Amino acid sequence: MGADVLPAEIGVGVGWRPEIADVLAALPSLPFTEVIAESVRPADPPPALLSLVERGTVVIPHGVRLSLGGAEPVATHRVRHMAEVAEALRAPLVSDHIAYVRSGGLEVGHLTPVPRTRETVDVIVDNVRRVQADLPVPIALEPIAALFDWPDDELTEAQFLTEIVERTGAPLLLDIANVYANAVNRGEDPTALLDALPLERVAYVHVAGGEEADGVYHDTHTDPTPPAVLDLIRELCARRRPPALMLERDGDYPQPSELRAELDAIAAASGYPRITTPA
Amino acid sequence: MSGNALGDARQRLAAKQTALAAALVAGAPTPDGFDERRVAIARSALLNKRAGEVAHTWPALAASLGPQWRTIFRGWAAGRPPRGSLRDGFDLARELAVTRRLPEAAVAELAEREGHFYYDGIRPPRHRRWTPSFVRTPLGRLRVQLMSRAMPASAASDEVPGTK
Amino acid sequence: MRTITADTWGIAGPTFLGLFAVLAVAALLITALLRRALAQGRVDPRWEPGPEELGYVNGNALQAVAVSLAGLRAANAISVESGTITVIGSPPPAPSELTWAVYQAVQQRPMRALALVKERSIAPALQHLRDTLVRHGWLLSPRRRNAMRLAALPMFAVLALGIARIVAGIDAGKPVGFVVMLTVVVGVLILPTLVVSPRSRAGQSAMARTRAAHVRLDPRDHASAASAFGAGGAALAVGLFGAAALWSADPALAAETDLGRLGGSSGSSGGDSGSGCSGGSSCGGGSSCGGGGGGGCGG
Repeated sequence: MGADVLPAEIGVGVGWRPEIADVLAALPSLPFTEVIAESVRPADPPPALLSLVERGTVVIPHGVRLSLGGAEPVATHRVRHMAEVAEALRAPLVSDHIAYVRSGGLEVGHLTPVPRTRETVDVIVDNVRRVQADLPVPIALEPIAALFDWPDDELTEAQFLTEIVERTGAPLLLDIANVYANAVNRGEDPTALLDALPLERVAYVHVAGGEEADGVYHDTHTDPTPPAVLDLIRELCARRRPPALMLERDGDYPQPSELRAELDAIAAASGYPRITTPA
Repeated sequence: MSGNALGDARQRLAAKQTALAAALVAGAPTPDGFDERRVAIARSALLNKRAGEVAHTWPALAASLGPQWRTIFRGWAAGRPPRGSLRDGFDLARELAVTRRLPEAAVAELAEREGHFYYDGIRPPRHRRWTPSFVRTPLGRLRVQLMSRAMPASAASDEVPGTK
Repeated sequence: MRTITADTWGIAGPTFLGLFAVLAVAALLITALLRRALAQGRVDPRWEPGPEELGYVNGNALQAVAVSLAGLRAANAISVESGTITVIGSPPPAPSELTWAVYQAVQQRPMRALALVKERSIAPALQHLRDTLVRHGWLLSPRRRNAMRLAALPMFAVLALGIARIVAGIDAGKPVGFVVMLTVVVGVLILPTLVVSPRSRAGQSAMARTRAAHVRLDPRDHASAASAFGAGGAALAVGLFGAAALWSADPALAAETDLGRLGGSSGSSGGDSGSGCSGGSSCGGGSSCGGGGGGGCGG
């Protein structure tokens, strides 16, 4: 199971947030979007989102709190919620992160990196398999942007991810801005990571902006997508173009014209048709 | 791999993850081997993110403290594990109310929340389902008044930050 | 001073008694029907509760924890000595949220079963168990249970009427023996309405079906023996059949702890917690409300 969990060649999309719901509804076409799964009540999804589903937009519930990378077993009520959201939105796929957000009664409040060890792989694979058993649709796994690494790391990021997706059969959700952030923060070449990843397993791609502060690249989702990340989209699509690319914006929401310009830039970089002008 | 090996792996990973989480949000020392500077950056970024989330849930609290909001929140939250925006804001607003450092607009917001939630500071806040709505706001105001009187006058002489 | 001959409230004694009896029967019917309707619930047929959830339905937190302990004992992860539970081995490879929390709590500090149930660190897992059961219709929500208590209001109104008549009758020097008798009957009939089961009627019949499907785990079945349970079976048996099953599945655990005496099913279910904001940003964890520059998103 890999990229085939979604129809081929969906195109460009943007993450649905209540603050920009109007801008999204005004787009002439929106083939693809994502909603934060934890923010949706399955019995009563936002009407604006349902009307997108009616229009034929593929809506992916995107989790941020399953804590798939946690040593603690994944809480079944969270998986159940995810399943119900997927059903309510007729989603073909859901996604969450390879990270942990809580441990020992502490809520970190953020996606926290896990040690890249064989032992962690075993735990994550077990977590993911149990989640898969309880979900009506596949779950795509997204690697995170890490500000720091663990001293315990035994595997490279590519080895770590490849082993997890191969053993679980889960598709990958690749965040191209995270690839860039991690490479910058580790002083590595981002294209080298692209070459080492199983790109045939990429279900869709996140694109987002960030900023450099304290000598570290922060994946903020509140800044415009930098040119270097757009270049990396070109590199990725030259190797293997994913079925969908999706812009994530989480605050400091820009003017509609700015947002449309960013979507056009992503369309240009990936070679998919623009979604801001009628076809 | 055998079942027990996986159980052991979980146990070891849990200890490591809890140690790092405690360093990030509970004021514990950074575990050995981590890049101290990078972890400090992450810790600081987490506090900013949390300040933004609490400001979203407690808009009057954040707005009335103006430019000092982030400093005050960060000072209060450092080393305190997050307990959700509603609770974090509750705890901070109550603390400021007791020391009479809570600006007027935020007093009204706190009073309104005190009326709508039953919160003992230990368990998560619960909705007061059985209190009629016309009782809630006066009830909350009363609670806030009692709270700020619980403090001796000498401790309450600080200037209200928002009115400087 | 009233005249001796006038009827209390202008209604003759026998007329009032008849009226009162009719009102009492009507109130009883209304209360019973309302309670029945409110308690019905609807069980989600696609969801199957696990052993701990079944334990929670049958006997609340203590039985759910007993299920976890039975599972941990079967996996040789814990031992019990004079009532104190201690970790002796690795946690099971695929623990549930509650079993994990129980293991961690005992790992931190060996303790007795009754202390464990009150342990703060396992409270969230128990809350999730309760919420899940409410959500899938096995348990009634606190709101629904309050509504069931309110359904007894007609009965209380009739009781108040009876008491008022007794007071007025005594005041007027009238015989009140029959009114007292009828009022006491109403008072006695109110008593059962003070008890509100946490389980929905649909949940109860689902439980009966589940028990029937696992009848071989029933400790009253002579064929069952400790060896017949297996690791998962012991936990399931305790979830379904409680203390009796614990005595056959794990006599040592039953004897050494207070779990061997855990009773039937009663107790309270707490309220739900208030949640912060429901905005949606993909910046993970937290309450996921965006904003706050300078932070990284990383997802």
